[in-house]
Amino acid sequence: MTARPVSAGRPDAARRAGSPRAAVAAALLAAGLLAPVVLGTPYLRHILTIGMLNAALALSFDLLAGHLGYVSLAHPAFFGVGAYTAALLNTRWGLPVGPTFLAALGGGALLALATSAPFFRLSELSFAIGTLGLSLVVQAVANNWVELTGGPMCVTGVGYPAPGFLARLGPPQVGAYYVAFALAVAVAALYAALTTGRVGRVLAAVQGDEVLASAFGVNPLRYKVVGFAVSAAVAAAAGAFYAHYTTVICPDDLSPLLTLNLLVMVFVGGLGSLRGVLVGTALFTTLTEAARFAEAVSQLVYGLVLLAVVLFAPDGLEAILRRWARGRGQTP
Amino acid sequence: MFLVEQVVNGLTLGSLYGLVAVGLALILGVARFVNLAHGQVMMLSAYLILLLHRRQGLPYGPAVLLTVTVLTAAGALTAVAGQRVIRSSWRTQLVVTLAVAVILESLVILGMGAVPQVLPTAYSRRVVRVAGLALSVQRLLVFTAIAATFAALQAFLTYSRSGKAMRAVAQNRDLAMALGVDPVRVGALTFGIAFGLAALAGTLLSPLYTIYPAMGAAVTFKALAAVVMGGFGQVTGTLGAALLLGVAESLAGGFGLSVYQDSLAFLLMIGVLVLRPQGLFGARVRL
Amino acid sequence: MIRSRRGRRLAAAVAVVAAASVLGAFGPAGAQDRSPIKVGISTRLTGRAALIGDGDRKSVLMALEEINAGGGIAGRPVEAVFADNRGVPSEAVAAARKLAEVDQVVAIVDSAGSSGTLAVMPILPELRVVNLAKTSTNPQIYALSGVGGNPWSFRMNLDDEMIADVYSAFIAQRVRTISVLAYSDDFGRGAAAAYRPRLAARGVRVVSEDFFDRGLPDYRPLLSRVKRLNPQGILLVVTAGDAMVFVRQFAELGMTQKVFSRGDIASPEFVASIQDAPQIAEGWMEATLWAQGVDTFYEQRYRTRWTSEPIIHGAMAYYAVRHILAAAFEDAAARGGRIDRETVRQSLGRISVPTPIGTIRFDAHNQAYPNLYIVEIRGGRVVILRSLRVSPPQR
Repeated sequence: MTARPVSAGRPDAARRAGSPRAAVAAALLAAGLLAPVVLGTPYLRHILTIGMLNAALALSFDLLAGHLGYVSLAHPAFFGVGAYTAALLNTRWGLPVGPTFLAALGGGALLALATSAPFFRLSELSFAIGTLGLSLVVQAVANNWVELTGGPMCVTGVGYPAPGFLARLGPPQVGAYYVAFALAVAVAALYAALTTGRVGRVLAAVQGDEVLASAFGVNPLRYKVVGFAVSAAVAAAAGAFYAHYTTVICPDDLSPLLTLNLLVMVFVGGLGSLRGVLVGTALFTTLTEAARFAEAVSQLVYGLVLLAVVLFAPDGLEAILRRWARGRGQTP
Repeated sequence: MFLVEQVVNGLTLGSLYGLVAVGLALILGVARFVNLAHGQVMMLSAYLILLLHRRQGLPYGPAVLLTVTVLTAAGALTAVAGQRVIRSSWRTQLVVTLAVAVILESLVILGMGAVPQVLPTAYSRRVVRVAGLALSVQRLLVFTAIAATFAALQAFLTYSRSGKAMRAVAQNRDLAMALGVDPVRVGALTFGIAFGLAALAGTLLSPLYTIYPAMGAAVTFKALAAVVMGGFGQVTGTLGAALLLGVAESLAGGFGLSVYQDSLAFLLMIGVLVLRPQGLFGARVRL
Repeated sequence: MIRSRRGRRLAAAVAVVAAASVLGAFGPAGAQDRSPIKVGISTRLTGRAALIGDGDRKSVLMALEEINAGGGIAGRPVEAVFADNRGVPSEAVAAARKLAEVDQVVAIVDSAGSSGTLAVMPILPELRVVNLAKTSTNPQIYALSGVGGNPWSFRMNLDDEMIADVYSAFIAQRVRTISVLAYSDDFGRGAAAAYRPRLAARGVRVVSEDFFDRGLPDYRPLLSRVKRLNPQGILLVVTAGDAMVFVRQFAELGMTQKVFSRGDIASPEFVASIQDAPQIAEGWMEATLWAQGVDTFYEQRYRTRWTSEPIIHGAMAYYAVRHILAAAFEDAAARGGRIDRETVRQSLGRISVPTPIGTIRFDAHNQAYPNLYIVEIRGGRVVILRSLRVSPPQR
């Protein structure tokens, strides 16, 4: 089993970035924009909104895991910092919904920058364990610093994310959907920009051979730290959206369960691939909702699916998609 | 007196972490494998002894022996059957063992329910006074068993041929293999011992605590912290760190800081990772 | 201005939803009189508290069997749709949306915990569906419901402050000093916050307050501390799983404090766990909304039907459907024939239903006042000492 399963596909993906890929992107954008108009029930819109949120989170997780080789288990921490920053600024100090996102973004990035110096001195394994520790500590703080966070009584009554002009589109849930959609699109664009072209090649070099990368004048640490901060900032923005959207944020929302979900989305989809991660996210979001109808064994199914994919299809659905595309002669 | 009492309280908890953590450290050191499902091994052993002792009526002593034997065998079997996963990248290891942990926990919930169970034994009900402290006989049993187990483990690793082979693999895998050490045999031995230690934790400590499906996950995280603090894969260091952790948690509880009891382990772990990546006890010889 | 525009949008959305629900009611069955009345149950089917969901499911199914065996309501059968909320607030929101929008239920019974209820409340006016909370004890829910601003939020159980009003007086008659040991979650912290001022006002000194996470393996460190402070009583706010460990370590240390519980030591799980040594919990007391012994009729049928032990959450779910919602449906049917979300809401505000836990009548805050039970463990059995009536709070 190779350490970097799908890296081989990337240059070729970059080359194809021209026509079919752009068409697919445009179609997805259009579909996303029209979805609230087409979808009859608000429930489907809600699932789609959660799907957008999941996509942003999964892509930010994969930016680090799939392109720099660092599995950060601290995503719940950054998500939580963003969510609590936004929720507290909004409910305690009346900061309006837009600026809370910026503050959350900053909070997430700051925590990442502050912890990156020690964390990146560690091996990749110790990094994973250390970040797991960070996520558990942040959850404990959220749970126990009652004066600030309300502890397990949660922060309630957080403002709904339907700023200004979006409020005119219809019920506030439509506005909220577009905020989530914008977030997902922005993150996907950022992800594409950072993983293709020159930056993408540098990241691949940093992950593949750090020594070689430094020999060519690239400072690997700088790329890693920036990557970590970007990933954290996105997770924090997603957290802010979550807090505004559900109007409540609790310490339970920061549990390691979030990490498990991200692992399922990213590994089942395909580590290091935009399409793979998006497919994994879509699948996960749908299945989670479907599981609400016939529960009891859903955790077991998650575990089995994750295990089966890692053991028998280690490159995820992306590899299967790619093989299928090649079979139909779409790739040169 | 109060301090002594809290230290004794902490040692029980430390023993639980220690038994799981040392197994985790052995597997990490010798087989280079991160087992995030190790706490679940302990959980399984607790359910097994619950079935044997409480449901089937097997006396406590034989039930412990049988449970530990079964899990030791299961460990050896896992090592042989799971060779491909054990040799995979640590990223794969993390995801696979996490998945296995989730699967085992869900299976136990489906089979046994999520309601916590107690496993009182004659030893856990009998209380004796030792130097002014009220202690159940079970606690004394735990302390004795742990001291004996680690003395035996240390002797095994130091003097026996197999133990030396394990240490050799831990220090330099390629060299050890070139010198004729069979990696599969060593792997089986390592996993067997590690699972056996976890089973000892599950069988000896569950009469003092409760048995529930999520009991493993909490201990895995704590044990991981102890492994990191003990310097990744060192037996004595890990045991020392686990006992310290138990005592630290107990003191936190004793001085009104019980809410921070659970985060303490992870704060200490991050501190050690950052300040002393080689572990609390420095550059002692590995294993 | 924006407000009014938003109002219009809302009205438009409401009209659409209303039209859809009317279509839903008429559409599939054809003969409108016989179409089932759907009730949504949002509960914890998976996760740490799956036991609660299990009790809810079995109790609700039993209630429906009884209702339908008697010919249903106004000739229509009643059906339940279950949705898992995993005990997580955001999941509770998703579950409520699914029940209201996909399944088109006429009312939701919610077993999500206080945080879940608080998360669901803001979307109720949009969904225009009643949420009947049955075990959420956060005092904020009272303040926000009914005249508090949310006409769709109802609660049939007493909250922490209402219970504390009565229970602290009871405690004050028995001890003068007390240590509080509670979960560090909405349940434990919420309860502790309610007792602190009420105990102090009645002259009981709180000598220590300790919070801890669920699943704490070892209580000895905490207990050693309490033993040294030597209060006359302990207020214990934990659920059965942790109380099982607690009671054994309490006995191991030879402690003699009077234990007052606000959790579920009256639950079958806890009681079963002490059967090998019943004396260890002798004299422990608890204030609870329900315990075995309150309603033996329900208990016996539950045991016969499911061959398992009835628990408090299931009992509350049973009363919610069998008595409260059934009465609201009957009332709606009797008044205009239509049983929809709006008429169910209005009927809930009107009804006064005798139930085994007291008469349920919702006040201006959509809050009901069932009995509070004080129970004691004697010889390994739960004995009901008192059944107390609770009056609306002076808030």
